[in-house]
Amino acid sequence: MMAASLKENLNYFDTQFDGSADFVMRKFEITGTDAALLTLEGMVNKQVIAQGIMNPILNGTILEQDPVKKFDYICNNTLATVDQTAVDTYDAAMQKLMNGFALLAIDGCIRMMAFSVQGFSFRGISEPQNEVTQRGSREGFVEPFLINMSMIRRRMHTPKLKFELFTIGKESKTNICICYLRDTVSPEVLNRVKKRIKDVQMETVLAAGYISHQMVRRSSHFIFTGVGLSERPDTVCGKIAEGRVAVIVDGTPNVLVVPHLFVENFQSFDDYAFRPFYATFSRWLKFFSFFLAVFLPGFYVSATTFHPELMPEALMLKIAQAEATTPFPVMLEAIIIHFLYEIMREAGLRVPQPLSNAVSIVGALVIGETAVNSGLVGAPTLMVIALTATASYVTPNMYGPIAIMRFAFIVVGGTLGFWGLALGLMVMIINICSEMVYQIPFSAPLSPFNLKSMRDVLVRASWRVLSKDVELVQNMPGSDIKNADQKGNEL
Amino acid sequence: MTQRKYCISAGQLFSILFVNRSVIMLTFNTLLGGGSNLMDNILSAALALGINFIAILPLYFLHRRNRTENVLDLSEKLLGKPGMLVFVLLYGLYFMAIDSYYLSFFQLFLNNVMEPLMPVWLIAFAIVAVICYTAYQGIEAVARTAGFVLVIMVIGIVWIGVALLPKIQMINYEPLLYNGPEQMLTGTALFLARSTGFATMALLLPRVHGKKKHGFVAWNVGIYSLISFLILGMVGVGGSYLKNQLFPVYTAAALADAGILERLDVVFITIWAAGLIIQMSTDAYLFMLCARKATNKMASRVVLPFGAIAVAVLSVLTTKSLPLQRLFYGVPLLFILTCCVAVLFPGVLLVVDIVKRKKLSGKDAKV
Repeated sequence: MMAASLKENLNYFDTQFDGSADFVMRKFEITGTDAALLTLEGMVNKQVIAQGIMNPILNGTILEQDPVKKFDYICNNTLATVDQTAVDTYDAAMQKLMNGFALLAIDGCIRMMAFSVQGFSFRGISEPQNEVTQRGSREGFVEPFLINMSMIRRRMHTPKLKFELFTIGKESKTNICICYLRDTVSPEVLNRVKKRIKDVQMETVLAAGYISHQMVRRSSHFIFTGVGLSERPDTVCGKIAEGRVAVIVDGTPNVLVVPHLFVENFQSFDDYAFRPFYATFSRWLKFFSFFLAVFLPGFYVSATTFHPELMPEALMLKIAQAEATTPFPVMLEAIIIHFLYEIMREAGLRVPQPLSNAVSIVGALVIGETAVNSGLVGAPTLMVIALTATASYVTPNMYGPIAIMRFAFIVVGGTLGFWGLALGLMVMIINICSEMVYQIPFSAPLSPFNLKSMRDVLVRASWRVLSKDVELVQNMPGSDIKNADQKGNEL
Repeated sequence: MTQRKYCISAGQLFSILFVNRSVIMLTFNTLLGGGSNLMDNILSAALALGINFIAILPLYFLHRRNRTENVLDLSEKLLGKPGMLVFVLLYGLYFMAIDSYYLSFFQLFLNNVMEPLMPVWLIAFAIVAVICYTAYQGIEAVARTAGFVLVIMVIGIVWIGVALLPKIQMINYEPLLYNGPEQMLTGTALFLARSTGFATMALLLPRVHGKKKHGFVAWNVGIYSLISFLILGMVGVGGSYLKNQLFPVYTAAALADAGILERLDVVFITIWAAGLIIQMSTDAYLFMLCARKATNKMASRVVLPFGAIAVAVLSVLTTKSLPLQRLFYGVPLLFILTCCVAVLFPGVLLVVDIVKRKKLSGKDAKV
C-alpha cells in the first residue's frame, strides 16, 4: 500500500529508479498542497499532459483543503483526460508508469491517479512482410498491443468480441492480451489458454515466439506446431470467428492463434478473395508444393542411388552423365547444396541493405554457375534443390519443419532408398496424427474425416456454401471438448 | 464393471481392419494356397466373407453382454488371474507371431523380387523401430493414420485395377472350380488364417463408439469386393503366368500402365509398405495392451521394444530358414492360431460367462 506522505512515495520511486535518466518527477503545489507528476521520458505525450492535466490543475479553482477530497475533486471536475485509473499500491503504480501512464500524487492522499497519455514512437501500420496477399487488406499488426487490439475491433463490430489482459515475465512484465468471441469460443479452450499464460515462468518475454511453445502441450517429438502465427488482422478475425483464441503480445507484430490445425497451413486469406475454382487450384498447388518441398530431394537421391529403373531412360542417362563427373555421392551433393542454400538464405535475412546486391551475386555465382562448372556438383541436383527451395515458400508457415524433414528424407533416401522414403512418409503422417491441440486432433478434419469440412480444406467452396454456417474448431471430428455454454453447463 | 473411455470411432476401427486385411490381399498367391487357378480365390473370398459372419458370433454375443470389458478383462473376471495370464500370453504371442509372418513375407519380397542394394535386415529393423514409435503414440494415432492410408490404399488399388482393364484378355479366364474345390477351400482357409481382425476386435471393441455392426458389414463386404475386383483384373491380364509368381499382385501392377506412366508396381510397393506399418503398429499396440494387463503401463512400454526386436529377428530367421518357412507359411498352423484367438477363446469366455450368470441368477432366485 502507498503512504499518505508525498515525500515517502517520491522516495520510493527515487529508490526504484535510482537516478535513471528517463524518470521525470515534476513537483508543484495545488492551492498550498504539495503534489507531483511522475512520468517516463519518451513514453508520454507532453502536449496532452500540459493541456489535459497541468493547465487545468494550475489554472483551475480548487477550494477543497482536505487532501483526499482535493484529489477526488481534481479527478472528477478539473482534468480533461479521458482514461484515468486510481491506484493505491506501488506495484500497480509502477505497472502504469511503465505502460506510458502519468501518475499524479498529492501529499496526504494514499492514492495516485494514473492517466493514459501514451506518446511513445512506434512503427506505422504497413503491409505485413511475411503474409503478402494480392487482394486482401494491406494492414499488418504493429508492435504496440493497444493498436493491434483496435485493428481487430475495427473489423469485428460486435460487443461479443472480448479482450482480456495479462502480464507475464518477472522482469519485462510484458502485456499480453487474449481476444475471443464470447458466444463462439469453447470455455474449455479459453480456460486452458488462460492457465497456460498464467503458468509462464520466464524472466523476460520479448516476442510472441517466447511463449508459443508454452501455449500447447509439450511434446518434444512433434515436428509441426499447434500454434498459429499471423501478422494480418483480417486473418486473425477469421480465426476468432471460428472459435479460436488470439494472443496478442506487446512488442511483437505477430499474433498467436490457438488451436492451430495442420490443414490451416495451406489456407491463406487470398483463397477467399478469388473465385472458387481458382482458389481450389491454388489450394491444391500448396498441397503439391508441400510434398514437392519435402520429398523431391529424397526421392531424387533414392532414385539415382538405388532405383534408377524408376526414371525414363533418357532422363536417367542425362542424370548419370552429369553425376559421373562429380566427386561426391548424390546424397552428399544434395546435403552440401542444401546447406549452402540455407547459409545464403540466412545471410539474405541478416545482410545490411547496401550489401544485399553483392551477397545475391556471390550466392548466385557460388551455388549456381561456379559449383556446376567446376564439377563439384551436378546440374540436375542443383535444379532439384532450387525447385524444392522455391516450393517451400508456397507454405512459408511450415518452412522450419519442411527444411528439417527435407534433410531427413535426403539421408533416409540415400541410406534405405525408396523403402526409407516410405517409412519416413509414414513417420511424418503418424507424427501429424498423434498430436492433439487443445483436445482437438491436429490432423482434423482430414483424419478423423469430416466430409462437410472438406468445403474449405480440399476445395474452397463458394461463399454461398461457406456462409451457411460457421464451422467451429471445437466441433472438429475427434474433438474431446464437451459442448458447453459459458457457465460450463452441458448443452 | 470397469468404466472405459471411448477412444476411437467404429469408422476408425474398421479403417484399421480394412487396411490390415488389404495387406493379405496384396500378398496372396497360389503357391501358398495350392492350385493353379487364381479365379477360384474369388470364391474363396466369398466363402470367407460368409464364414466371417458366423465366426464373429461368439465375440459379438460376448461383447453384447460385457460392453466395457475386452477378452483380457473378462478372462480375469471369469477365470481369475491365472486364466488372465494365460490369455495375455497367448494373445501377446499371437500378435508377435503374426507380425513376424508379415514382416518375413515383406523381406521375402524384397530379396526375391526387388533385390535391394541395402541389407534387407536393416529395412526390417527400421520398420520395427517405426512400429514401436507408432504404438507408443496410442491407438488413436494409429486410427487416424489408418484413415490416411485407407484413402491411399483404395486409390492405389483401384488405379492398378483400372490400369489393368485395357490389357484384359478373356482367354485368360478359366472356368471356376475347373480343378475341383480344393483350391477354393485352401484359399478360404488362407484368407481366414491371415486375418487378425477378430483378435483386434476382441481387445479393442470396448474402446469403440459408434455403429459397430454397420462397420463390420461394410468392412467385410468392402474388402472382399476389392479382392474380387483385383483378382478379376489380375487374372485377365496375367492368366496362367501368375500362378508361378510369388507375388502375383506385384507382377500384375508391374505390367500395368496408365498413359505415360509405366510400372505401377511403385504404387503397389507404397500401399503395401503403408498397410504393413498400420497392421504391425496395431498389433504392437495390442501386444503392449496385453503386457499392460499383466504388469503396468510403464513395464508395457519397456517390454514393447524387446518384443519388436524378437519379431524382427524371427522374421529375418524365417526368410533364411526353409523349415521355418514351411511352418509359418503353411496354412494349418496359422489357421489354428487365428481360430483360437478369434473364435475359440471368446467362445470359451462366452460359455463361462453364461454359466456363471445362470448360477448367480439361480442363487438369487433361491434367496
